[in-house]
Amino acid sequence: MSDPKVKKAKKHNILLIAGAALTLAVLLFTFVGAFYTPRDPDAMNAAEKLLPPTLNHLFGTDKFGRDIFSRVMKGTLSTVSTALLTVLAGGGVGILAGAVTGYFGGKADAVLTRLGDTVTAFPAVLTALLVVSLLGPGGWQVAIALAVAFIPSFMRVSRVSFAGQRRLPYVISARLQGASHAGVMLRHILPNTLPSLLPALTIGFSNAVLAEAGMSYLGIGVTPPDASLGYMLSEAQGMLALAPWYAVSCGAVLLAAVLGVGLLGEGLKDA
Amino acid sequence: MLEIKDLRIRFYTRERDAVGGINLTVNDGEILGLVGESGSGKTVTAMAIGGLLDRAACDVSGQILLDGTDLLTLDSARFRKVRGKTLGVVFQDPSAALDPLMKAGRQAEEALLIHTSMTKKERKAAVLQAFAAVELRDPERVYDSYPHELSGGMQQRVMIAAALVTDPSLILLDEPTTALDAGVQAEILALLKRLNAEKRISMLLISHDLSVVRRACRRVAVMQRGRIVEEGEAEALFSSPAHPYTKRLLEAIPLSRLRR
Ligand SMILES: Nc1ncnc2c1ncn2[C@@H]1O[C@H](COP(=O)(O)OP(=O)(O)OP(=O)(O)O)[C@@H](O)[C@H]1O
Ligand SMILES: [Mg+2]
Repeated sequence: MSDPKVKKAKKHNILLIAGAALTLAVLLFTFVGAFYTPRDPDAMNAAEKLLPPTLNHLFGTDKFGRDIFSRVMKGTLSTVSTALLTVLAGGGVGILAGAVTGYFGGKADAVLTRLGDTVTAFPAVLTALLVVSLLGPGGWQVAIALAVAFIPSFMRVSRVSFAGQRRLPYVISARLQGASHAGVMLRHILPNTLPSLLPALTIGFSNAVLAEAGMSYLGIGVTPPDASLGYMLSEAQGMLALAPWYAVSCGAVLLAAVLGVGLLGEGLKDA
Repeated sequence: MLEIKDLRIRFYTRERDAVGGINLTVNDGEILGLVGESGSGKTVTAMAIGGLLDRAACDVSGQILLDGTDLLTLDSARFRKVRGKTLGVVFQDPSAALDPLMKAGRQAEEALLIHTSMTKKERKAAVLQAFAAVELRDPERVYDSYPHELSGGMQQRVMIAAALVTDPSLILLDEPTTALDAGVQAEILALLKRLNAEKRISMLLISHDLSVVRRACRRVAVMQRGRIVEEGEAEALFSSPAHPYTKRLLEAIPLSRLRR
């Protein structure tokens, strides 16, 4: 059967499965890295400098003799937790603000939407830079900065969804059964807007991973002894000719995280 | 029971009053029919009774007395209680009025969840009883079904059950059968009559279709452009309409359906 609908459904299924698999792999890698790394990621070893990948050092070693696999594990933990915190804080505040303004409309809606548009007028990274310069560098500071920069985009998606649903008969019915505004928003509208909110969250995660990497790469993200994948990439650049496997492994994990979550979002959109 | 006195509703965006000072009474245990063509103000009247008008967008005056309490003077918290207990409401399109992601049973028990301290078990028992009362076959299965798994007629029965479950004294029905096909329409009307007779629940049945109202109601009010132009016993009104507008409404019904 070559029903176009069936074909489309199949394609989304593949995206969903591939995305879920990649995301799961990255999350597993992150989770394990939180409790166990094969070596101490910061321990230098003059005897094992610049070794290419072997069974002993899966991703090789850098010019200080540090085990890159262990370092990448640590970097992934830092990057993923920063991105998760960004999505949690930015998504939480943004979705809540968008829900309230979209559902109630009125003056608060006008003011907050204007405010959001103003923030959006600056590139997210610039906004994040501004916040970091106020908070100082560091892992959670970067997460907060990115969260602030991302709030308007989450707010917009959620505002549109809530504004579109609030006049629908099923919402009015729920009100007629005596449900409060909060009850209606939480029990009825939120589940019905998830299909549009979830992709926004996954895109937000991907953007957060990339933005954090960019900021750390530029030296305005995490500070040593902390190290994220972006920070490591800038380290790896300094020894690109001597230990190309360092940059490649950081890049590969970054790519896996962004691609996996991105595919997951695409797949969820029509699931 | 329900007494509407000089209800006047004007939307700020419109010149003409949507409802221009109507008086309407639903007596204890009766089904009052409210008919009128599209745009005559039937739904706006129902929305006012249900407390769903956006007070920032329109001006409402007059009184809506439900068992002696003026609904228009209630604050929103007390209105919620009235909505959940004394007043049930059923809309035209049941497929849109049900939350697509929530099982029918959970939706039907929402008012109980909000307004009573019943346990989960007690709520389910009450809902199953209401499902049986509206003649849903296999209530257990319906309880665990999502709206899209039910037919239009079953969905509307779920809505009626949801309105019944709190033992209200008045149910508002705004075009409850318009979205359903003729056979199902007749079943639902018969069901409403039976519920009215057995449980003595008062109903306000709104429809643009005189034949629907004729089958279910003894008393009918005719609405045109925001006003009640004629009111009286259904049979008298049908055999000798006094107002030209009522005559026109009558003429709009195909003969075959009048004879039924
Ligand atoms: N939110 C609103 N803002 C402005 N005008 C409105 C609003 N809602 C209803 N109206 C107007 O009020 C009048 C009455 O509308 P209403 O929906 O009550 O008609 P109805 O009798 O229910 O018609 P129908 O048979 O089509 O359902 C119409 O002229 C309509 O345009
Ligand atoms: Mg109407």
